[in-house]
Amino acid sequence: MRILLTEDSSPLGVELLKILADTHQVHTLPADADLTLGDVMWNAVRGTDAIVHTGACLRSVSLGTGYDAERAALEEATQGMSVLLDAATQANVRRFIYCSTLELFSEIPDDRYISEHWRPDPGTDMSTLSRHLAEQVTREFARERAVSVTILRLGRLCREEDVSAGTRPDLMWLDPRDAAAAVEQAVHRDTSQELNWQSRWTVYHICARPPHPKFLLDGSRGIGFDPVHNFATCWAQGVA
Amino acid sequence: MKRVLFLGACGLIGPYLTPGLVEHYDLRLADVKPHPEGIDVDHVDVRDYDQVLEAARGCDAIMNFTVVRNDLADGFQVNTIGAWNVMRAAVELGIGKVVHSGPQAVRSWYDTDFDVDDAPAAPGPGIYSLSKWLSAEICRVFSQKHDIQTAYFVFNGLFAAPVAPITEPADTPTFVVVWEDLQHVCRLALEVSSLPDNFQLFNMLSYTGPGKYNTDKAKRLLGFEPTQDWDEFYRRRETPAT
Repeated sequence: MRILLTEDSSPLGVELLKILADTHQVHTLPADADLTLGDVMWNAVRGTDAIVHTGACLRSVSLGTGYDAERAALEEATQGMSVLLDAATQANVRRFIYCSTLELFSEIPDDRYISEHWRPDPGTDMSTLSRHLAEQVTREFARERAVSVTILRLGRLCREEDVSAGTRPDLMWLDPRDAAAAVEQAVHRDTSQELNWQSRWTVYHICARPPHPKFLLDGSRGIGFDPVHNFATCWAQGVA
Repeated sequence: MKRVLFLGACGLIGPYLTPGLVEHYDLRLADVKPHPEGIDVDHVDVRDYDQVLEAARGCDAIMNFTVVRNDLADGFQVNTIGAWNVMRAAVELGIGKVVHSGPQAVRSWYDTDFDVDDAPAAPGPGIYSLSKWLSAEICRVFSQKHDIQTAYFVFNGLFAAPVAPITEPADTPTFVVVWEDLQHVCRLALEVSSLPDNFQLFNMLSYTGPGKYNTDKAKRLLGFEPTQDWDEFYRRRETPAT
């Protein structure tokens, strides 16, 4: 399968490139690509079978923090996402995977079980607001265009072996290798021809499986997600 | 008298809305283009945060009626980024009231339904409807996280009120608001002390005859009633009116 990966410089992007390149032809957007330019996006998506958007703002590296960086993230998540999906659907790309975040639920207390049926509760910080708005854009394209959009709300990336003994475990942890596996599974999901738009736009929560989870993974099991790195040692220490 | 920043004062809506507000509020009119009647306005580009922030300083409320409909870049910049700038300025300045506008985001999906009030939005991927729907989400999130009371009005047409009964067969407009009603509901929104969840999206229409869409929520939460029985102008009469 020919896959366009939006970037390969973030920790997630690096991991995705490693795993996807084993079995697919993967190309990435240039680091200075402007997602808001239709011509640029059209050339980037032509001949592609699937697009994997890591959720990272391409311009954030050069802009650092502050108003300009937030604005760039907002522009990419809204206008940029619209341009990218417009180009993709015109080019008959049938599969689109967007890596959102479980941080959309970080303000909901840990004494709740959260599934994909819960309403996202983004803050006004751009890291969550932009993901929420980008999800909305993808939903509207799936509603009216022939494309399968899979939203993967990823937990907090953390490599299992990097967690030192005694560290307080996190209900949102997700090893990037498991994140990459979920993306690989989502790439194969294609319901673009189904008349029911709701199956064309689907959300899955993706994180490790702790002994007593906050985020329920029953939905993501449907695409075969079964996390390997569950930080068992950390949880076994009984710090929760 | 409350001081209100009115962004988009010279657009397709602003000049018709101002007459119903000017006697009640200390209006600071702002736009990027001149007023069609030559009234002095401040040059404020909603895409520029610093300009929005300075214009809003000292105001009690912000009304944002700016819009770009069919240009991809400016559509998102004005409709979406502009809304973000407005809400950021409200937070930074401690302004607790925002009145916002946008197109209805449900109409084509519910054209065969009736009594549609608070239906889930389905704006589709069009530039105008999508970029404005995102502005509603931005307003909602900021309002709920920062205790700002925001009334977000949606409509599918704004026109002058009819002045005489129709003389030829014509359907009653389904999602259209007349200027007098919009003026009236904006005053109500500027005066209401609070809204459930700090943010409410209101259908705004003047003609209720078809029963397809309604303004029940605006009536319940703001006390809105059309200023006249506008459906009366669309009655079928055996003897055509003269």
